[in-house]
Amino acid sequence: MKLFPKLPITIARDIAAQAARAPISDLAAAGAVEHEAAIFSPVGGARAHPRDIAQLRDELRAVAVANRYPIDATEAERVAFDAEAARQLTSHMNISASEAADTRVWAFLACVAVPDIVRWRFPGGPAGTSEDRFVGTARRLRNTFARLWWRSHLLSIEDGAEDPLGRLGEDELVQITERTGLAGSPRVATQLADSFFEAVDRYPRVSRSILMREAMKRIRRLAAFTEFEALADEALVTLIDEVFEASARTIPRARPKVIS
Amino acid sequence: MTRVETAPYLRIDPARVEAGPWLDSATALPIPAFGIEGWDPTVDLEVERLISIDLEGARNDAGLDARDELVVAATWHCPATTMRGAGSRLRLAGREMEDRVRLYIPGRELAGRVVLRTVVTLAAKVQDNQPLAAMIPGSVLWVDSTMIALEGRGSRFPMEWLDFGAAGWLPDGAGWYLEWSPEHPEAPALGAVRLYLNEDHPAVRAAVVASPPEVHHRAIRDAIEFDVARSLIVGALRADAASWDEAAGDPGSIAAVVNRLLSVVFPTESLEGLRTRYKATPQRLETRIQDGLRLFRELPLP
Repeated sequence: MKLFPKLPITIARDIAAQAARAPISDLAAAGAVEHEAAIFSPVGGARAHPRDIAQLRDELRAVAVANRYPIDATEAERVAFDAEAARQLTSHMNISASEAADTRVWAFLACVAVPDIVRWRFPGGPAGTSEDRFVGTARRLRNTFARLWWRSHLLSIEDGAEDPLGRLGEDELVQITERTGLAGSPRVATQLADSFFEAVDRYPRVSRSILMREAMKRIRRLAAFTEFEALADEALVTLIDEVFEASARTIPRARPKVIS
Repeated sequence: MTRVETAPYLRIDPARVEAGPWLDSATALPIPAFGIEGWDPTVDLEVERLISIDLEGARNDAGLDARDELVVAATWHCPATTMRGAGSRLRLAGREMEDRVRLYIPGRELAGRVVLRTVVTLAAKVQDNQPLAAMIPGSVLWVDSTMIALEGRGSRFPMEWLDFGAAGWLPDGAGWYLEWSPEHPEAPALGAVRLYLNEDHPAVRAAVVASPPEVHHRAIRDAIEFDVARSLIVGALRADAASWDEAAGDPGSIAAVVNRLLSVVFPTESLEGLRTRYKATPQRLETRIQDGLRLFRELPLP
């Protein structure tokens, strides 16, 4: 396991305030692989070398360029960037969940290593990029890269299986991976995605976003008195499949378009 | 946040289940609640406990019969990383049961604390003759939760040594700096609150590492503790009340942790009452924090 540098939040906030409306080209030029205020965990792995950070930066930038960086990306390109960048983060960083739970790891990446990518991915309105996308204090999952790492960590796949990351929209991923009391189990997260895809295939005229929200409402109600982790694999599949099935049945279908 | 406290079905009388202490599987010694010697994220946890269940009584309590399948399972949850997982899942049959449930938890998934849960759940419902019985697989009929602090008592508050002068962003003569943000009360306390201690401040360094501490060490420790508590309490009382109260529903959040501190410092007062008092006379309330923490009162006089 590796230990990545951590940027104190006080420093990260200052950088985020300056970067919020800065041109992407300026931020790309200012990107660095070290920062004098950065610190490392004393135990838990080997310190990442600056060349490891440079390599990660290059990989992330290559993924961004493939999705139109530095020009404004479409929604589809943002989804594609998120899915591929998530894979790059988990495969290159090799950090523990313990390290990934520390906001400062992600503040370093977003504020020091690749602030330009944060600015491109979340350009924001007239006020520019939100501080949360650099710092991620509100929930670590608001940080541009923390949310991707956690999604990839939770929706990890076995070799040969179809990767759900590129098939789920932003709101769908939030529903599966960020709900308090439910998120945190790779087994449950993967099953939620699988059951969702099956329901979407069976009910093509049901709105995906409404289906996901309705099913997750039911799942959260169940979670109050159900221990999903205690279920055998087959029982977990059946239970979550049934929730999506029952949800899909209650949602009005879109009418097919009539061509006159 | 709305929380369901009562299950919508019959549960097992807790007296039907006897659970032994969690033991280290390698040494068979009990797992201490306040810190596992030498733990860090490269160390995996292997723990187990003995469970005895009066199954016949348990089924009666829950309105289930012998054909309904029950399991006892061990699961874990880490509030700081949010990760969850499961270990043993034993099917329950017969009139009584005694067996060990085990958990293997990768250290890399953990930080700060881990909650070890043992649950008896419905695995499958065969009979449908008792309308108040649990129907849904996974329904919790009995549960026991144990919180283990992984890094010891001293590490329950995140602290880090830093050379303030070399770091360049903090005054080099200062002794400590508390980094946190009351505007984000929902953030996990273990990740978003951190006390930096200046390793180049001889008095602070000596006070924190001294074992046993002398009177002057204890005075400095008291001062740090008071300053940290004051910062957290004042931040809480100034914060937006609605966001704060909503965030406090999550037990690992900053809001929940600071609320626990408030209940220790002001055991007889409500949060709402404290907010009102702080708004009216902030200095007076800050003085009451000194009183609540008994600042310097425990120091022996020469």
